[in-house]
Amino acid sequence: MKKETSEKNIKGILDDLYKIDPFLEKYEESVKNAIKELLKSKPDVEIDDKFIMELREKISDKIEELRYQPQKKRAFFWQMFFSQKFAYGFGGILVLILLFGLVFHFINIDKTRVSQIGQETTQTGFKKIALGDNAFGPLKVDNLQAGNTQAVGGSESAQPSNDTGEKTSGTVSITRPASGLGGGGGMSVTGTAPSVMPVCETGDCGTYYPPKYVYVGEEVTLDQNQVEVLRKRNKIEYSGSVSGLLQSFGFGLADINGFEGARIQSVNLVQDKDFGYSIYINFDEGTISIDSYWPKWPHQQTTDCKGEVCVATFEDWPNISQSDVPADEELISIASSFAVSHGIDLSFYGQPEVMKDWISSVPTPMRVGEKIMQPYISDTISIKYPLMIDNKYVYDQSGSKFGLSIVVNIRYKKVSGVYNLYLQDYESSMYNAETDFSRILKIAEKGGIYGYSEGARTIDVEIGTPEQAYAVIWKYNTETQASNMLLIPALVFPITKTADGYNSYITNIVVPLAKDLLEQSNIPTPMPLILEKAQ
Amino acid sequence: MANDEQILTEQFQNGNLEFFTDLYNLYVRKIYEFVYFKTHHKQISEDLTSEIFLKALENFKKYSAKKGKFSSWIYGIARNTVIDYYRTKKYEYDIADAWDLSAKDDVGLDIENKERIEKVRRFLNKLTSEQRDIIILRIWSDLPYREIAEIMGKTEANCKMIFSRALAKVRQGGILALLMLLLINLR
Repeated sequence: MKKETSEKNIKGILDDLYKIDPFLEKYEESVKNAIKELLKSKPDVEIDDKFIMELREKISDKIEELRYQPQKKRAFFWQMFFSQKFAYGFGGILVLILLFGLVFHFINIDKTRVSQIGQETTQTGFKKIALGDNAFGPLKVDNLQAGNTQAVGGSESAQPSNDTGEKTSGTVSITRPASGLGGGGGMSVTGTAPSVMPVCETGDCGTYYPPKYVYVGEEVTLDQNQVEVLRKRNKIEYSGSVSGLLQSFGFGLADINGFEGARIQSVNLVQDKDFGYSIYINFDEGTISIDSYWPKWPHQQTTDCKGEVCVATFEDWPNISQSDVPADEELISIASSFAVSHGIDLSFYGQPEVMKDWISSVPTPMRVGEKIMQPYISDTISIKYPLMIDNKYVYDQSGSKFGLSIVVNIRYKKVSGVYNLYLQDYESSMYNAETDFSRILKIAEKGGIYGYSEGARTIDVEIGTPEQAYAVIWKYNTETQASNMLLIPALVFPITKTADGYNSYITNIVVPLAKDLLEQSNIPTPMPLILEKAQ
Repeated sequence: MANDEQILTEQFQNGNLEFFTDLYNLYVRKIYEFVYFKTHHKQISEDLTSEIFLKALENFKKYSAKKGKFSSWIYGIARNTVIDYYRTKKYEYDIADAWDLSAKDDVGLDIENKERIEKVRRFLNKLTSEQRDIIILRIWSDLPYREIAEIMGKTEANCKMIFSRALAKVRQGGILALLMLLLINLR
């Protein structure tokens, strides 16, 4: 076989040569001998496997090092669900090709539907399909809790209209007096309820004082009688054949091909290397979550064990102190570098913010006997990349910006998680908008659609001129038993001043503009949140 | 496999550096072999191969699939790295690789391949570095002219022409060597 290959090689070389220099054909024998001589003299090259492995390690280290260097931002279309390296081997490459195919298939899906209704893509990678008016059914929900919770909704039938897509964008415009709008969305912090409760005042322990939001902003006119509500599309279906791939997943234990119509719903991939990741991809929802792969990250080792109960001592796992927490710039650099190097398109998001609301809740060091007990500081810190749609932020009902979260492990200065990463693929539908600003204001002064500000005594909290934004609301469909994410145009009122001596975890009041949602009933009384007195 | 490589190089080009490890797996033996063909020395080949891949990784921004295949790019880095290595050695004469050294000066030559290398040294060191590289790439590395052209920064036709002339020289050298052998035996 080797001789045949060699003869074939020589013939190939000669054929090429004669095309260039036919004169050489006269000397075929000697030319052939020269080539044969060269082939025979080819050095025997043995490469050391240990060298290959060691160099591979060096390369991996170099890749890690290069990740922390800022890289040029790429505005390429997010063509793969994710771009991180899978496990070695042919199986990993197969999954890579499958996912690549899935995304391309998804992009071309529903072509006929799009051509009937009209498709509008407003930015690279962002997809929006226009449906008829009120296509998502009633927006109002009952028995909601503040924040991201399920909602009982009405019909979800989305009837395509015959309209070819000549609709207005449906954004609410705020007309301002000559003096212009002032203020804007303030810094958002995490919070779980719009109400605040002071800690015990002298003689007043346990009494709840709801806030009373007082508007001090400018006059606002609402002049659009419809708003465009977005609903995130679910159920990304891959109808291509995966029978060959599925068969190999059966390990020979079962005929996977026998399960007719089987499709891949989700995939979990792990990296078997130090500081490796676990990547969960959900095709039904078009989401990706990235976590640290538990077995491959260092963990608190417990040494002080009494029977089955082990307690880690300070020596085992030193606490992180506030001085260990890197500067915001460094944290953002770690997060952004990770995103860029893993093909996570950040073009849908605004400027990143480090979520440091926990800092205010960290007690100062305490002396216990002769020891100074340091306060506990979490190993991880979140960097929020706020989602932007049509250059507007998206807020949840607690007034926090909604978006991509990249979690950095402070101890190792590595990203340990990425959450809320999903395909920017929506359906849109027009809904009647509230045009009476005073009505909006009444709801804002109550603390939003879930707000409650009645009581004998209230605490005054000032709110300023609103910004246009989107509110994210989850609506549960009892028929499909799935939640749908809705983005509804809203006005967001920043909290500009609170009562003396009290900190609020809420910095914005969010009021959606869809009339349907404002008419909801049974707004529950949220649980008050105990605040700490400002130091 | 070609399709897989295309995906890998696209991802690498887009800054997804993890895919470089797969490209490394695909090319490490070929690049090592090529470097060995030019240095004749295991340790030097290992050192230079390390340098080549790390250089490629650090300069990923300079790689563009539009300009050529990844293989051509990495072979190009390999070639330049070997030239740089010998140029920094400060020999009395211009050295592009170990073939330019006399047998006496090529002290690092691995014993295992000494005989084979010496057999062809007298032909190959009469060629220019460029001619020699094309011969090595075509005959020993078995690369197509299209790729050789990308590596050398020349057209395919030009590479073929250089190859044919180089081979003609080798052929002539062979005839001369045969003549010498005949003369020696006739004495």
